[in-house]
Amino acid sequence: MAVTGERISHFEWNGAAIHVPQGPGTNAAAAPPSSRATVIALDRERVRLAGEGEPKAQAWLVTRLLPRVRRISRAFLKHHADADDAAQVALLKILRSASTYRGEASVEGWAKCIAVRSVLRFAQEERRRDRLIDRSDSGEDETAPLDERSAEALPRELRAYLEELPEAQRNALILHHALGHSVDEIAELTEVSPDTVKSRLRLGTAALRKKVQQDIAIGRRRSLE
Amino acid sequence: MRAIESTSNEDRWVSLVAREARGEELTCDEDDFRRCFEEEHPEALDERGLWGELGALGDPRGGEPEMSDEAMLDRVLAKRHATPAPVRARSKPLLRRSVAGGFAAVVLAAALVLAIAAELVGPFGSSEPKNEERLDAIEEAPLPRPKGYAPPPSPAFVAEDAGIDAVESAEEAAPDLSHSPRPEGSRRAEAPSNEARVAPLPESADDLLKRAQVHLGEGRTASAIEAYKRLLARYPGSVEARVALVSLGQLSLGGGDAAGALNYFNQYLAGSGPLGMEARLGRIQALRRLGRTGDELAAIHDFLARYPDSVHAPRLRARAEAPPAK
Repeated sequence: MAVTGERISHFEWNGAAIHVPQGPGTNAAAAPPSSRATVIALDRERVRLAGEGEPKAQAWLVTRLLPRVRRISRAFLKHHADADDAAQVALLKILRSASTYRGEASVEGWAKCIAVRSVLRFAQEERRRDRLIDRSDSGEDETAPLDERSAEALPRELRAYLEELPEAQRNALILHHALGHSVDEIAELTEVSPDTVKSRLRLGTAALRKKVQQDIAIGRRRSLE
Repeated sequence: MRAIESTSNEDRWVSLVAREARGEELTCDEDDFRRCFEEEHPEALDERGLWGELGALGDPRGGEPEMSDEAMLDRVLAKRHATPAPVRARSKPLLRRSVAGGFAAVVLAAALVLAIAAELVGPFGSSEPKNEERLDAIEEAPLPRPKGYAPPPSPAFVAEDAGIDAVESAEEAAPDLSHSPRPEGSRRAEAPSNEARVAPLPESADDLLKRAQVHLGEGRTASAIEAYKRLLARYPGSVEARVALVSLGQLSLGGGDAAGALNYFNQYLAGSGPLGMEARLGRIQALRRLGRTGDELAAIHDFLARYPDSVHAPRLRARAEAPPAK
């Protein structure tokens, strides 16, 4: 397999060489307007083939979406293993849904919705399982030691603060700031109104800020003692 | 960190800091705005770490290496090719199933009417369907399910072990729980009856499991244990009861009852399920607390053979290699 930067450029699957184009022209959004329609048509055809079970097309689709899907799963899941599992589940879901792709949005846009919903459901299930099983003795804390953190670092790991927020606010903050979704996109993904998303972002931001401020204040008091 | 005034400018600044952390390039205007805002609000600099970390939350992490892209690609494709999804493997939603049932009933009725009409009209009817066609129409109409019919449990619930198989199965099963075949003990699997409409339904396995989880979340361990035990007693063969065994094992360990915990874990491990790793880990802890060092070591070796890459593996290897306490 050849890797360009962090992306796979070509690889072999079942003896067949698969090429994944890099840079401009890789997707419809990045293509010049004159060739955009061609790229969309080509994408639609490839996704259709993936939906029909064509191995090369499936490999192309997974390779193209892998970085985005992994980013989504890392953003929502604390543990490496969980993030890896969630990404695989989401990718399988995308492959199974390939036959539903109509080419009305970019492949990335279409797949993003499936991936986010799949990962959110996975994360919800993991939380439920975590509540069932006490992981306090598992030694799975992946928080970096304090001395490895930068000067700008928070008193506690960011995930610890996020865990203390209501799920809806936490998800809205991650979708908006970590994954760059707009308010309208979050509204569509989470099936609530844009006003509700705005409210969740506002409340989540305020709560997050307050929790960090409290910890810093406590830390300052401790240092004075 | 001092709170900065909440304005739309501040929201914009937060978004820009997060975007930068995501690796996106800012335009000159955006960069100017960010710098001006930070000059006007020096207290904002205290918050850069917070919003920067949030923006970078999806970045690859340091420390323990993740699965490589290549390995993930191989696994996903292998998984996809190993288990091609059957076209109509899943149960249809209840509403669509009702519509389909209604349609089938209409087809069946129409076929019967046609058959009677054919008998009455005799061989002169010009639109008489052939016998073969009538038979086809009747055969295509699905027969109504016998009362009390309960489909077999979904294979998603009997995945052999933890990991992607179990995770995917659970994930696949989760969204359709309201429509999929449910295991024994589930309220949704029970055929509704007139009595059920009048009298309150008994607590299902799912209800009891949820109740136990709520108690656990609220820190009411005794109530949680009671709910789990009731679930075990009432629906011993259900998937929910299997989950309860592991939870009861963990709770017993936490409560100092290592022998009880061992019993629960052994019961779970006598079958199969997605919590195999958790149950084996709990069993090791229980054996350690009971002082059964030989059994504990055997359990550790068994665990390491099954899950060599587990996050628990290094700790358990160290434990297995440590000299026995005098």
